[in-house]
Amino acid sequence: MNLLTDFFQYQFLQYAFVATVFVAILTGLFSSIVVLKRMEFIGEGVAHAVFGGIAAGLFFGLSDMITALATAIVFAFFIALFSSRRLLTENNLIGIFMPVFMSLGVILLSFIDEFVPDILGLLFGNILLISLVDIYILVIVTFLAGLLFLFYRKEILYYCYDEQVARLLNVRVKIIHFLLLVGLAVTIVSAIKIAGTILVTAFLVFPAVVARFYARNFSLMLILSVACNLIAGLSGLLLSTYFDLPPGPVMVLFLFVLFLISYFHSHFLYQAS
Amino acid sequence: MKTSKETVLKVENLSYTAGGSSILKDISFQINRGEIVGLIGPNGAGKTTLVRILIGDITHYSGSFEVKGMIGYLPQYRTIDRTFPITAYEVARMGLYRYEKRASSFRKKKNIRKKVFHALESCGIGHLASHKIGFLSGGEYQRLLLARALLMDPDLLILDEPEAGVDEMGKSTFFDLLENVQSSKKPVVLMISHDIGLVFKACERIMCLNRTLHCSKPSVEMSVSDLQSVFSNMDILIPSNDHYQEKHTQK
Repeated sequence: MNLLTDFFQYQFLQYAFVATVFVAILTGLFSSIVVLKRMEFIGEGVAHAVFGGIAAGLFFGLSDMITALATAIVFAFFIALFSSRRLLTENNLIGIFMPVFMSLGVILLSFIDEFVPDILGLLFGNILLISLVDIYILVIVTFLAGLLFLFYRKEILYYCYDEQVARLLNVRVKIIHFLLLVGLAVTIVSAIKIAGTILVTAFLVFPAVVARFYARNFSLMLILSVACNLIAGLSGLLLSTYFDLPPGPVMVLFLFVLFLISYFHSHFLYQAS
Repeated sequence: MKTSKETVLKVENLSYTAGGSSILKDISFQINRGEIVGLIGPNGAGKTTLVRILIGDITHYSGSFEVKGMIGYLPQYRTIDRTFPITAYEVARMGLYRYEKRASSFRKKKNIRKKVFHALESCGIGHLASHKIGFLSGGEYQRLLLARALLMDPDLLILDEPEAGVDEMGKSTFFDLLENVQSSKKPVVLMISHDIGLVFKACERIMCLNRTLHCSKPSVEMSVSDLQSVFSNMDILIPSNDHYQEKHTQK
């Protein structure tokens, strides 16, 4: 089969495959938090906010990936800080800080004379243009996220389910809140270069919505979310390579198909029970 | 050795202001071991705010309070998302978080499962342990939240509107259960409720709150004027008491 020989022949396809697997796992894990804590807006928010960081990187002559990561962490820190008193929701704050960070980026860019095409590439992503460094970053971030979910599974669950009682029980809610937001921001940054803003948002929302229809508990929701992303991601990559289509949008459509199937199937399930 | 008069909750000159308006003003009371106390008041009286201060959810208040021992808390029914993917077992187990943190040996960890099932069974929902919370009825869910609150090993048990979202049958089962629990474990109970009839039935002492504490008396000594100090211009029925009748005929 052509596709198989292509896969072994072209390094970019191997990179795309590995990157898809790690992006799917990483975003799959965090998607449950995004959906259960109602932060669906965060993918867009961080992706656009880091625009400011990338502009700062270009302005000061620093690596765009490092400034993007630093900006995402600062962005997450502000969201965590201002939402900790629970007067405002995370979504409110994403809507407030995103335009501020983007505006700072645009102002900084106005000082740079030449046009910088990299920024568009970073915002829209291309899974077929991945470097080995991108993959290393993804692997490290996925490993750290895995540790976070493994060691703090119970605390994360209690924080998502009933934050008030979690606090009463001395669960370190503030630290969990901060770690999850920073983890999410770093996840989004390490995935957008590969997947683009739209696909990252899709990877962060669809799987948990689908998994929630079926999962009896939180651990199962995490596993099903990752599985959902892997199915859509790898099917999308395969089909787009075979028919020479843009991979990101094909993956989004696969996620949508999974959503439709689960939506109608769960409707049937709940009616039957 | 604990005496029956030991104070479990002592609140002194507690005040809370938000957005320039006073929500709670100069509240002082104490609850002694063995007591079941009801806290009543109209909407916006500050009942839930008082609870939020006691459980550490609000920190910028003035005055002080002291709790001897652990707090167990049953939150308002509507504050929790019932579609959340979590089983009844996991919800109840949450109550053991502090114990689990301390527990390190294998034997203690093994005890956790036993303790959770025991609490679920004593609340009459042992058979629902593996069910997702969305499949529990209102009454079953309320009993699950009670099981979780009891697993917190409380000296002070705070119940925030435990009757909300539960039908009459569910209510009576819940309070029978609470009475049994009371006799076996003896945590002090502070119950917030809108259901005056229920408070009179379940509580030995009643406190009336409307921004400040208007009265605090044994339920048998409560009069219509006490209640009207917080619920003004309203006919009030006090069960097994003829005050209502008197007040009504005066009109």
